[in-house]
Amino acid sequence: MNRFYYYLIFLNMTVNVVAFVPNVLLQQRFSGALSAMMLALLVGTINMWIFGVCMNRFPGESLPEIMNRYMKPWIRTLFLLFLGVNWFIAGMITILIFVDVSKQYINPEMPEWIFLFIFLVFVVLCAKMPSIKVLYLLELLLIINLPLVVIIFLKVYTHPYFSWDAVKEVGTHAFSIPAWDSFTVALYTFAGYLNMIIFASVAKVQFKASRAWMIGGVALVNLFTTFFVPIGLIGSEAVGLARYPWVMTADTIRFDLSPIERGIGLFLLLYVSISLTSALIHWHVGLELMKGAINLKKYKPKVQRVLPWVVTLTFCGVTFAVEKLLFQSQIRSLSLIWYTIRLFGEFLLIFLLCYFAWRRGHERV
Amino acid sequence: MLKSDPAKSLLTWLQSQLAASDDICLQNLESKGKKAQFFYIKSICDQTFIQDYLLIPFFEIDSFHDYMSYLDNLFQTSSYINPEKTLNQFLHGSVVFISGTKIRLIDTRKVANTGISEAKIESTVQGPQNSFSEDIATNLNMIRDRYYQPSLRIENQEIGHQAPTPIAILYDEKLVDPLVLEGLRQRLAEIQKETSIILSNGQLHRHLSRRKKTMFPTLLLTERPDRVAYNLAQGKIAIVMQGNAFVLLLPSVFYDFMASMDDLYHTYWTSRFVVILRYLGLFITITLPSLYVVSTAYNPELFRYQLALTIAGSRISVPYPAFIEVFLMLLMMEFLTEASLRLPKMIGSTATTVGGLILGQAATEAALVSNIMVILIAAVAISNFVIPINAMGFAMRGVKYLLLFISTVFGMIGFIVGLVGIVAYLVHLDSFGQPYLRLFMKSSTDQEEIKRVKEEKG
Repeated sequence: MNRFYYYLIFLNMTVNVVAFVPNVLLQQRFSGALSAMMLALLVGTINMWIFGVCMNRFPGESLPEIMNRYMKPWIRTLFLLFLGVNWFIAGMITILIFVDVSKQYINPEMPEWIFLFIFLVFVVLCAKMPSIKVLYLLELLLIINLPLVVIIFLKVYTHPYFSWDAVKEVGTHAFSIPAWDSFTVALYTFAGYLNMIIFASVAKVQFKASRAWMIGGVALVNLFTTFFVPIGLIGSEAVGLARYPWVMTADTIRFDLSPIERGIGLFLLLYVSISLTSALIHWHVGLELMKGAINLKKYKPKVQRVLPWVVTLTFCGVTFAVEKLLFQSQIRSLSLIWYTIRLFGEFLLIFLLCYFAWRRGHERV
Repeated sequence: MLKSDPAKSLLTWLQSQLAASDDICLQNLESKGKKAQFFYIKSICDQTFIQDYLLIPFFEIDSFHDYMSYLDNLFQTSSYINPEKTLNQFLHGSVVFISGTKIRLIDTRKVANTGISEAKIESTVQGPQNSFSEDIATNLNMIRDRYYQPSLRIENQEIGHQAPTPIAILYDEKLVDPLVLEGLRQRLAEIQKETSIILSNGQLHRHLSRRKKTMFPTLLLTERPDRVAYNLAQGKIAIVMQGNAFVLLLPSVFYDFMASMDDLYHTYWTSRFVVILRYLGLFITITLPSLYVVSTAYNPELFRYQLALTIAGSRISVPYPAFIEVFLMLLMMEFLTEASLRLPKMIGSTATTVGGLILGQAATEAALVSNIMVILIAAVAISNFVIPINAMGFAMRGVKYLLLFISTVFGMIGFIVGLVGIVAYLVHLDSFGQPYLRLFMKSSTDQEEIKRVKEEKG
């Protein structure tokens, strides 16, 4: 079951290739994005390592269960609700971005709410599945999509017009002071491992600390690709103007002999399924956290059945409202604020986990 | 009611329970001071057996005591328990023997349909050719004959409270998942209460699955003894039913429905190739109609322009939107399939000729559908038949309409979401506690998990 750990991390890295991450990074390409990425790589890997080591102390237990032991109920409820809302927002951002991408690049004539509707139907229905089933689904979709990821990777790196000079030009800015926004979004690409706070209860085999370098390596390749490939293919100046640099990058790919000629077709097909999976995992974790926060098992069976619907449908409503009321630029700037909040939440969570692990260690003695 | 002397009142009680059928036979015999009554149903009892082994000895053996000991040593003979059981056994072809205070039941059931025929539905090229018969004893014999294991356990049971049908539950005691077995027993007990009569394993399958309205089969029906033996060796449970040439296997997962026994009998790469072909066929039969709608009505730019132009050119004279075209032709194809399934063989070929040749040809010439459409429909129909287990093939036939609908309404996005949604639905299903679809499944019952459960139970 250890493999699910890697799947979750890998999924979060891949899905952020389309989200705001490359956009933010590339906007700050001359003012500290590169150094922020390096810093994020370091901090992210260390965070993940600490998290894994701490969770190893509690085999087969999810965060709500762990907190049950060591925290006052009201703090625990508040904190879990805070985390749950955060997870819902993470899924919401992914969904909103993909509504925008679908509208722009797949069916421009279709109104946004139709995309939103069908995405939400899928995500809500799937988020209610048992955790282990969600993991099976994730595994299946990732493995099915893996060939497409490999093809796109090969295609961009062997592209005849890939300009390494542009990459070198941006590379000269590697030693400027790290930019805050870039740091938060780059760190977010690692955040897949945090999903384990719920999935730990079903994925039983423990995290191997010695493998952290492997994840770090994959993260390096991922960040490098996310950042430099659009620069190499679109140009170091023009890339700053793109809202979705990677969709544009994918549009530079041409398959000479395949029935689907334009790379963008393949890319979007791939990313619709990947981002849906990501959103459903976030919402699933969010839902489970909320359930844990209020100790759902104590309630009557009828309440147990209805409450998850209430929570998810409320968030569907919020998603619709955000889509209707805000412009994409506003969503973007709000997301940037959220990335910062999330970052502090992550540190707080890891700090708490360290504390729990320390308590646990003392109990044993 | 019969406590004082069962032998006297049993006959009258039995007769009062039975309708006055002409095939019910009561023989009063008397010879050399012995008196006896034989009571049986002619139509399901083996008359030659009764003649040779019951009647002739009755007249040849002098002492009554010797005859009784002869009778008791026949292995078909069982002793009397209570009137209800007696009636039940009587209805299943036992002769009721009454003499004085002695009652014996002799099983002389004659089964007309014991013939073993060739496998018609799951035929293989190189594997064993025979399929199950409709007789439970013959079927058990065929399974035992392929699975020589001391740990094989057979449990006889009856199901349906009004007209009980004998069933046998088979499993390998060492390999079976105790949780699955427990679940099965519970379900069977519930069915016993709810259902008055069960006639086929297919019906039992519907009652066994917890969700009453489902599309995908979660238990496997097979007519091949080798498949049953192979699955028993994997720790599955088989249910054999009287009067049924199909055996129910559980738990069954998605991959079981995509596997043919030939996969085991061919060389490794050949069978891998065939398996890949099968999944490709599955993919094509589900997606092709929806892809056609999506790529003509929503996103023609997805394909390279030569292909997009060819499709558009072929559609140029078609007077209605793509989804109506696809839907009409699919419907015609379904009618053809259904017609050729149900029609007698003589007329079947006419139907296919009229439908396939004339309709396809004429429809394109009349410009009601495009040429490409006809090719596409043929591809969909053929690739659907690649799925080895019919139940899954039928389910997939329905699924493509669902996908077609979503793609028609929501376009490309709908297509992807629909496809992922189908996968998610399959993942979400369960078959007796086993996840229905997941990657990296070695065998459908996880041996380590079973070991753990057994250890916990002590």
